[in-house]
Amino acid sequence: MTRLTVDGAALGYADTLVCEDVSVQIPDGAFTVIVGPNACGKSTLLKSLTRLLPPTRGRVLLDGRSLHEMPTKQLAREVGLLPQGPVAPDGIRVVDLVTRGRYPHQRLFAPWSPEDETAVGEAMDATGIRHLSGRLVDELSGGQRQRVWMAVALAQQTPILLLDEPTTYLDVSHQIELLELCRSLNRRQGHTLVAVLHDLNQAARYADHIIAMKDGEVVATGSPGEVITESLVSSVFGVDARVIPDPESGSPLVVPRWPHAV
Amino acid sequence: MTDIDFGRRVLRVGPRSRPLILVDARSLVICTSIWIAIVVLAVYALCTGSAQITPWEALATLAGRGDDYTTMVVLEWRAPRILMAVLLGACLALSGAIFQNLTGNPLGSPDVIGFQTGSYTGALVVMLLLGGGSAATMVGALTGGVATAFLVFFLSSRRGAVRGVRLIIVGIAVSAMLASVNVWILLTATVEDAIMAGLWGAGNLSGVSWPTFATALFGSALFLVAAAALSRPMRIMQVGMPFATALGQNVRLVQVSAIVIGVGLTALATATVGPISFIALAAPQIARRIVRSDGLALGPTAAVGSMLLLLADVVAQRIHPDSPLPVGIVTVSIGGLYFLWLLLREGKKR
Amino acid sequence: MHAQNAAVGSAPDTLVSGADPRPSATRPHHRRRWLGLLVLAVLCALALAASMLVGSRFVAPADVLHFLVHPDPDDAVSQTIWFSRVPRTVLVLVAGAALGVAGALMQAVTRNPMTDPGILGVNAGASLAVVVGLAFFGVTDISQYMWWSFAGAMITSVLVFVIGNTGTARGNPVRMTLSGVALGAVLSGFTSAVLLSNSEMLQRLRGWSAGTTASQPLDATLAIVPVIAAGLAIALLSSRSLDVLSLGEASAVAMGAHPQRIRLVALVAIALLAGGATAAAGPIGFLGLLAPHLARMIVGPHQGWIMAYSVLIAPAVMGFADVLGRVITAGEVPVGIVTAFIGAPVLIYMVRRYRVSEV
Repeated sequence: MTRLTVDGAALGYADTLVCEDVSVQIPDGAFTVIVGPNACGKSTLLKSLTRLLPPTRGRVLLDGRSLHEMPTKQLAREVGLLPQGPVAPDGIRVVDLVTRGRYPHQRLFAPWSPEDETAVGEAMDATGIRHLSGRLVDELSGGQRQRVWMAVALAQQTPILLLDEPTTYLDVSHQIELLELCRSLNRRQGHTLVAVLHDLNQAARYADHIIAMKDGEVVATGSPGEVITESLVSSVFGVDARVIPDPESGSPLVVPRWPHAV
Repeated sequence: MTDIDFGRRVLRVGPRSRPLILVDARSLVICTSIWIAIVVLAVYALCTGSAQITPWEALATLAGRGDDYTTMVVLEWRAPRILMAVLLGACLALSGAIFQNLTGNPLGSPDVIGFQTGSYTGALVVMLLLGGGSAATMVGALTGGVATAFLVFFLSSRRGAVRGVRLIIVGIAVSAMLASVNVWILLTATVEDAIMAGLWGAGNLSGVSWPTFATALFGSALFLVAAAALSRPMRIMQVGMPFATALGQNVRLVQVSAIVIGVGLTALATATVGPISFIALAAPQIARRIVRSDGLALGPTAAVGSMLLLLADVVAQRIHPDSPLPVGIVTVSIGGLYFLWLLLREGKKR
Repeated sequence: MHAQNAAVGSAPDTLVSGADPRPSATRPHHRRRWLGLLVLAVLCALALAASMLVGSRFVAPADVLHFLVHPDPDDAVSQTIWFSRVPRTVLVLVAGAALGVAGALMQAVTRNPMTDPGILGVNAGASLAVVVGLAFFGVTDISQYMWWSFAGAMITSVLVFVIGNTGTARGNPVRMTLSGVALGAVLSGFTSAVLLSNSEMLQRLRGWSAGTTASQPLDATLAIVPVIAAGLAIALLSSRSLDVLSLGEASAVAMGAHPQRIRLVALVAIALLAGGATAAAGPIGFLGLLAPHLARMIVGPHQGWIMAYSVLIAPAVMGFADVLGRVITAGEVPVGIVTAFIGAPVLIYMVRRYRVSEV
């Protein structure tokens, strides 16, 4: 079952065409991860799943309707996006920033309601930042800040959540924290998640479904076990590696070959 | 479920079960205090000056029971001027807040970007080249300001979206060009005309009458309401264009509306009393610092703007009782002080 | 957030680097640069020649050559040449070169290609200092008020630099540009205030305050030459250090340079150059923006070459602008106005073409 699909889309910015003809289906209720080398079009594909990047050809569909024909607020109640490197205004407190996420649900003459309050509270609980609620965002660490941004996206209460490189600037411990949060959102609350991740092994561990891209094309889709093979790692990433079962999670573990004497 | 910690005192306005809005307590207190200060200052301005009037006399005159001279001083000269300062101060401050939000830069204010320069050009063309009177000058200034805004917007938008940085730089460039046009027009005029035009160009609240104030009030009413309506979309814009779009905002519409409203407010003020600089720049920042809010405090901003302009006008009139200064000169000094303060603050943050 | 700052920090470097990152030691580039320099020298000479020949009346080249060697105080043409053309042409050369190099320095120090002494308010600061000196301190001679000009330029440069480059605004080129523009507006406002209250001063300085080559006699122009020469010398000597500075604060320190010292020296040079030029010719903007920009398009990110080219490009542009101003209408359009009309569209083009990162 898929609600969100891309159908033969051509995607690009200004004068550059990044993806010529790409089609994917995002499985419902699963944690999908898009992987690939730099500049392969991962972020571009992710952005096309929102209104940010309209396709020059082809369509992006939600429940069979083209995204770009839907009213923006309605789409924002179904699909949430956490973009890369979001900007927090100076001097804003955590709770105020999370409240921004309620925008799609607020109407012109009702700027605040009990539902808003509940949603904000739940979002902060889910990301474990409730105790930081009154603090200034500027004062938080990178890991805490990223969790705040997750809370903003969660406050939107969308069934589908897109994350553009959410772990890239975080410490390893925070990366794992965030990925565990994503997993629990998926498993326990049934959100459909689509994330762009750099780390192939993390992707293998946490994803239910992987989309591998190279040079603007989707080269493989499927479960981690199906997609992450030695031949794919070699052809897509150009790395000569062994793929063994992860001793902790059982998912594929990519181990680059060591050309020197041990 | 425990209450959310907002990090500051927040009042829930509306029926208990369904509160309507959240009002920041500090913001409310500050706003009220500033308005009280404005009233006090207004009374001071009403009663002092070349003709000293006691507050009771002023009150009596306002109720219609004063003698002819006092009535003239209070009702014809001072009252409209005070009210105009309060109104335009709020307009300029809100315009500044809108543009600073739009450009994402605390220095991205309409008087820096150059919309006022265009108004001046329009006014100079009418005053010195076409020989028009004050009404014509107003029209010229309004046309000049709006035309400049369109030009800047058009030159800085690419594929429909305006990027803050581009808007700023294009504004600076257009402003420089128009400033040189202004210099050129002034050069071709006589010294007396140049001084007269220069005094208009410095921003002047003298000679404000009730009809002028009424016009300004009607003109700005719609814009002020629109600015208030813009407050929530502007909050969302603060998280950046990608996120704002993802949150369901029509970014382009908000940007266009913001520009129209921001330009409208500035153009109105400039057309009425000439370009008054630095209220739009300083008021939003001062308000933010006092209220310690998340970057958008429209109520306090308007209050601070009114306060600043009224204060500047009082200083301009009283500092040299024989030869009153144009209020724009005083606001330029405010700008200078603002910079010194900015300097100290940024220097300390090292 | 930090990622955002990193992106901003690197964008200006990319912009300043221009399009050509190839190493400088290859033969054909060297030859191309010297050739370019020669071509520009010719262009500059043409501009200066035009400045000598063209004006309210056209003077024949033969007459120019004759009267330059044998000045004749009784001949009207000779008088025109010696009292009008020569002072203006010398000023074009001296002030033009000064402003061009000041702009190059400014762009190097701020790592922002969209600045020049006019935009950043340095010229406004210099003008205010001159006007204050003339109005309140009874200064009359250019050799005196050029020091006021220098002081004004210095103070303003330092102010803009501190406001725009420290604290929350660190490394943000737009912030610095805006600080300069706004500060310039404050200072111009003060200048206007002084002039509006003193009609005699307004009359005297009207032409000058628009930026013109016509308001100084020859000896006045020559008086600023030592100051400009000092500024140029400092600038050229700093060119290597500025190349290192353009690699970024951390890399510069790693290479043994002292960024703050380099910047301070550069600011002094900027103040000397902008101050001297403004004292003689009034505030003229955009030359400092155009010349280094064009230079960089030809030679790439090498400060020494950029400055050498700017020394020729700026007077050429100024000369042509001045000539244009002389002929375009019945009255004369001061050169400061013409350069604004040429420079502003270039700035608009620059900002549309380069992808400046969102701040």
